[in-house]
Amino acid sequence: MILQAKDLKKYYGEGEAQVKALDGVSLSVERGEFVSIVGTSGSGKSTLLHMLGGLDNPTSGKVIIDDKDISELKGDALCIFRRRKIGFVFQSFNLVPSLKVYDNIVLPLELDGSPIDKEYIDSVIVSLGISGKLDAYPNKLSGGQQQRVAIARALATKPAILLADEPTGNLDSKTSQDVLGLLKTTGAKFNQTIVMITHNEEIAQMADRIIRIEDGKIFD
Amino acid sequence: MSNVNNKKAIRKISFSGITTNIKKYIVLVVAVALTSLLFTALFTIGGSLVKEMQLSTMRQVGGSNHAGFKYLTQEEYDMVKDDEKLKSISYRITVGDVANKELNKLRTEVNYFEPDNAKGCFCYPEVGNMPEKENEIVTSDLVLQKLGVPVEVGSKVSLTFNIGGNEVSDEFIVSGYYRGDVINCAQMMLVSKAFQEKYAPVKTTTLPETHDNDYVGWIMADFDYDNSFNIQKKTDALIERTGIREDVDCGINWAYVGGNFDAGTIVLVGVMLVTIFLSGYLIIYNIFYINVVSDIREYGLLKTIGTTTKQLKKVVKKRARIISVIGIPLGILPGILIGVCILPMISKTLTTVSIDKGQAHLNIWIILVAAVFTYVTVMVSAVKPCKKAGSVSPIEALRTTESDVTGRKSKKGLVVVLSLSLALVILNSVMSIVKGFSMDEYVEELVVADYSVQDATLDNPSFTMEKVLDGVTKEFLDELNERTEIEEIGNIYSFDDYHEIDDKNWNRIHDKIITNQKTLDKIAQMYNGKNGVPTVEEYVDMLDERKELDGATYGVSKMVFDKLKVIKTIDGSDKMDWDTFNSGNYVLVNCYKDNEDNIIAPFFEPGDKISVASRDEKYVTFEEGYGMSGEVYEVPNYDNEPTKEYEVYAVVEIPYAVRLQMFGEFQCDYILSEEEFLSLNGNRAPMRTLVDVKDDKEQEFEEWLASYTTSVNQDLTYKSKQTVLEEYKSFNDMIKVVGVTLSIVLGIIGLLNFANTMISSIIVRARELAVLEAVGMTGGQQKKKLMKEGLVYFGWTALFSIVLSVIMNVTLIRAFVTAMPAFTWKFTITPVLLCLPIIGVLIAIIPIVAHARMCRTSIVDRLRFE
Amino acid sequence: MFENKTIDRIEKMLDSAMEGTFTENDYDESKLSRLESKWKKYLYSSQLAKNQLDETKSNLEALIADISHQTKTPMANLKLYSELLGERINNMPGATEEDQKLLSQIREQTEKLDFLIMSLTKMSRLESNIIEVKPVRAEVDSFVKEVTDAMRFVADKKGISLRLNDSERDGEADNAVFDIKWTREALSNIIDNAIKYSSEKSTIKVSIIPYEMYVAISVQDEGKGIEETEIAKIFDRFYRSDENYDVEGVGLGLYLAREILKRENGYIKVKSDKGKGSEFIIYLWRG
Repeated sequence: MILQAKDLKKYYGEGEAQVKALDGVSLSVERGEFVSIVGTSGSGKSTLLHMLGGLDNPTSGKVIIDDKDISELKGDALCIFRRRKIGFVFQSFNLVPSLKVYDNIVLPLELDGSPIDKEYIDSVIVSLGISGKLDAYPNKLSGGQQQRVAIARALATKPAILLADEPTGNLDSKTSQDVLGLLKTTGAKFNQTIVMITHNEEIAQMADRIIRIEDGKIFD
Repeated sequence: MSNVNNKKAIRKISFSGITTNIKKYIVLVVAVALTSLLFTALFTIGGSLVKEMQLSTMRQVGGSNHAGFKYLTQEEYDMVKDDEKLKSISYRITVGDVANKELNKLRTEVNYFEPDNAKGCFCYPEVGNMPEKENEIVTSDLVLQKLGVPVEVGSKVSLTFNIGGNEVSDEFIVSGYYRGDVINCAQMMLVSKAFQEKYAPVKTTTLPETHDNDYVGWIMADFDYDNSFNIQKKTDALIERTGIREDVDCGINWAYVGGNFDAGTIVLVGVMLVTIFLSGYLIIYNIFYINVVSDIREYGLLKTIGTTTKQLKKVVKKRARIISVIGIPLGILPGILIGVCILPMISKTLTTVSIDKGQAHLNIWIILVAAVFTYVTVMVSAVKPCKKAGSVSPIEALRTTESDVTGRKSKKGLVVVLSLSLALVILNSVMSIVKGFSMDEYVEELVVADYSVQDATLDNPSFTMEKVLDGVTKEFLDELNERTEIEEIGNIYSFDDYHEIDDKNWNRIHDKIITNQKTLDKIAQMYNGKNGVPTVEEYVDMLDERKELDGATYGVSKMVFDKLKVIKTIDGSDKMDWDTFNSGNYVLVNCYKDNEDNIIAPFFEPGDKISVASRDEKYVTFEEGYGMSGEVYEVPNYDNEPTKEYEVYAVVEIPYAVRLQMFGEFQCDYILSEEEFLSLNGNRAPMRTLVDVKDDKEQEFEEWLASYTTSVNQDLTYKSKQTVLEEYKSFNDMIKVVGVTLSIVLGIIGLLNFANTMISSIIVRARELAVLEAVGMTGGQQKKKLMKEGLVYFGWTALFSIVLSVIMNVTLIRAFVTAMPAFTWKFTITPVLLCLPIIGVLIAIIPIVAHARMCRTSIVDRLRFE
Repeated sequence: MFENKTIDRIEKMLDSAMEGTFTENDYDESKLSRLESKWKKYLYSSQLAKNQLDETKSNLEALIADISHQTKTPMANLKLYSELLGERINNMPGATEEDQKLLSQIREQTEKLDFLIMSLTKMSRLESNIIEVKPVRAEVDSFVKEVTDAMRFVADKKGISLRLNDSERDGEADNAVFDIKWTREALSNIIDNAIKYSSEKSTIKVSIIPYEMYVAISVQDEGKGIEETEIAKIFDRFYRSDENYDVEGVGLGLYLAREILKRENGYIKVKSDKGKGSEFIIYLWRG
């Protein structure tokens, strides 16, 4: 079990105006699994992903990643945890615009001062078909290419878990297929655990397992 | 515990962030360069002036070495010369002084100098060589001029030396000369070793044991330590270490002791530093902050993928450092140039050396200090942006939309408004000072007649030797009286010494003046009981015991009498009658004033009886006295001189241009009529002669006067109304130039700040504007919207600058101006009002230009831009 | 002093790793903290873990090999005896229609058993990497044509039209990196499935869709389609829909296909509209 969420709750506001973004979500993900969390907008899926990624603190409940309860971690410790254990792929790619593609990919490693496993990085780059773009700046790339760079960056640290937040939300359907395929195949190739959130049932189908969320609760 | 090494990543992020956003950072580099320029200019000027003042002190003292031992024998010198802690040591050997009549007023010492010692004493020949042969000498151009010898190597000159009371006369050849400075205590004449050995062999018995008192043949050793800290202590240690006699005459060069600056200068420099720091801070902080805010998504993103707060801070700091490294050197050279240009104007208004005046004394330290100050400014400015970048929350940053960024507009706006206002307020302040100069009042104070003729030494503050108080020669007066251009002539005679005061008068002076709280406050600044200076109480006791006050006795003719400012007269009116005064029974007295030139109390009241002592040469005897460095002085001493009792006719103020331009702590002056002065003191030449000339004859007269003072009698100098006006004008110009320069640079900084704020606000909102355009807002409407925003800034700037200028004007400027002679406080706000429209136009133009640039990218691209 | 502390900590890390109880302590910028993270990573990808996995795998593989080997002779015998029985029944005057039917049942089940064992053997070899999938760059269009042509015979037999939709391709040829032999197995399985679940006179469309990173081969049928809830399960081993129990098959075809594609950096995707048909898309990696 690489990821476990126990009775996660996230409430915003007080009293009448209280919004229960998450209302007792529990789930677990096995090592190497590709899980998609599907739900409509406002279902709480983004909030859930933020909790799982340690970007936000739950009102109550626990998130355990790689045997570590991340609610125990604060500030920079949490930040370093993220750097080493979690790879993010966002809807809006979120590459560092001022860094070239290669530098973007190895940035999390360099931030950690880790030696770069050249062979591994190269194979990730080849798998994602971005070998020819390493010296370009992100704004010179198409959306699909940017997202592939983002996947490469997420994979660079060999994270315990890769969290993808609507990874094809900004892409056309053809490019989406490419990106999802790569996410799936490279994930499989490098035995990567992937949790992807999406509102699109068809995209969710790419995963090994689908978790549905509605009104802050998981239902089967 | 060793930490992971992630410097490379930090460096990479920092660098690439700059190179891909080069335009954004160019503004920052320019800002840093401007700050560096200001600091460099300030330090170039400041540093050079400090150096100039130090040099001036050194010249007064006569040397640049840290310390020296005087009156040594060869044996004693040998004990010291090899000491390891000394960086260098050199000596000269006293021979005597020049007895030529031409040099009566220009004391010239004769010494043998080692070359190094000559350099240290500012008398190493700049042209020619050190004297080698027995008949060779080196001296200053001033001495040569006085002797009437051509200033060139090879000139022959007949000299008479006074060597321990014996006169030696011979013909010498000038082997070299140096530029002399009147500020020196004495001019030097360098003789050869051969000459010295022949006429002034080095002493063999030590000073305490010798019976000679001829001051001939002593070794004067000067030495340097590695640094100039604690010279006194080091010298004490040196005496103990070398075993030289403990009572050796040792002199510490007080040029190194410090205290060259008064509080006003320090405050001024401090204000400048703070101003530059503040303006530098305002702009760098603002631009940095905007940069960080506009990159907030990037920082948030970096945080999401695991960049820690510390690392983000490091990134911003690193960027600040990179910008410093580029910007600071860019500002240094122009800064030095500006400093060098302004320096002479400031130097001119200060009393320092007279040669190489206003020259820049550049050294690496000045540049380093300027660089460090700029660097500190940059780093301090980066503190808040650092915090901002570090405190970014990952999801918030991912969610950050334009509205959040512009939400901080008010704070950013404040910085822009402040920096623009700062420039305007300074400009306004400077202009009000400049405007406050009242020519008439100045003229009244400084120029009481068209021309004033006196000995050249009299009003030269650089000239520290004994001043000539009876310099206007009979020959000159005779010729003057024959000039037809003249309207009126007036003479001022003077003795400068002290007055004995009788008990009755003293008691009053004691009560009304000396123990007045204002007086005590004033003298407390000087008599602080430190370093052997007596305390106020001790000083007052001393005065009470002596019952003497420093003061001059003047004799004035009617023309001068008419120029005196009446405080009160014996009959209570404010008019004085010359004939009554000239009757021989009356004396005029002055008032005791505080530092701000406010009257504390008159020394005597009208109707008081005071006795004035005669200073007739008949009653004087001279005693020998010794100066600080062993020079022999003749101290006049009066015994059994007659006194005459006068009644105080009026209390007056003597115009600056008339009186002696130096004064003691309690300057108690008596003024007699010319006739009475001469009858009391015997015959004496005037100190000054004032001349009024017919209006249309000024040029003619001045030509004659100029030629007379340069060719007939070089000792005389004159001051015309015109030269005084120009002298003042240069001071006024200096304030103008410095102030306007500062305002312009600050103005540029302010506008840069505004432009940056505007441009980044447009960049940040490019998408918002694109959306507006997409739904039908025309370019014209957008521009209007932006201009409106600019106008808000303009409105606040106008309000701020006007309000602050008014406040400054009625407080600081008023205080400053009132304290300055010749300035009257005048309220003005015109400079601000004049500049505001210009700034208004720029403020309207900048957003439009920025908008036009943005429009070059298509609306579709901008809509896509995230 | 620091050194000792660090060494102590590393020792503890090793001890707990051996006991299988290792957890990370702190997350900070220290090298020790990074070491912990790496150590943790290592433990899971280490030889130790791999060995355990391999052991299980090889046990399973041996079992399957045994099964397939041990069933070979009985299977051959079974076939032989049913042949003999057939001959006897034919020659037997008293043999009834019923007897013939029973015999054909026996033969059918024998075939099925044989197929199952063959598939199992393939699967186990594939899974245990005894047979390696060796992707090489090859042309997709001709490959698809070849497989469709081969399968057309089966389709024709069932009266189904198998159409290769290559009119839009204009003779363009796309390359991808795949193992021809195994991919043929996968594609054949998928087309075979489509044929099995399609009714007579329906059409199966095979088309090639190029993507930037992949070349996709789509197989679209007009069959019953798949229930949404089933979609995730159809690739599981031995999965057979309850509705389809009458159709010949052992439930390994799709599983095999998925495994093959995975090994050549490709994947399979299913789109289905209950009642209107299904579309299976094979994505071959362009490399």
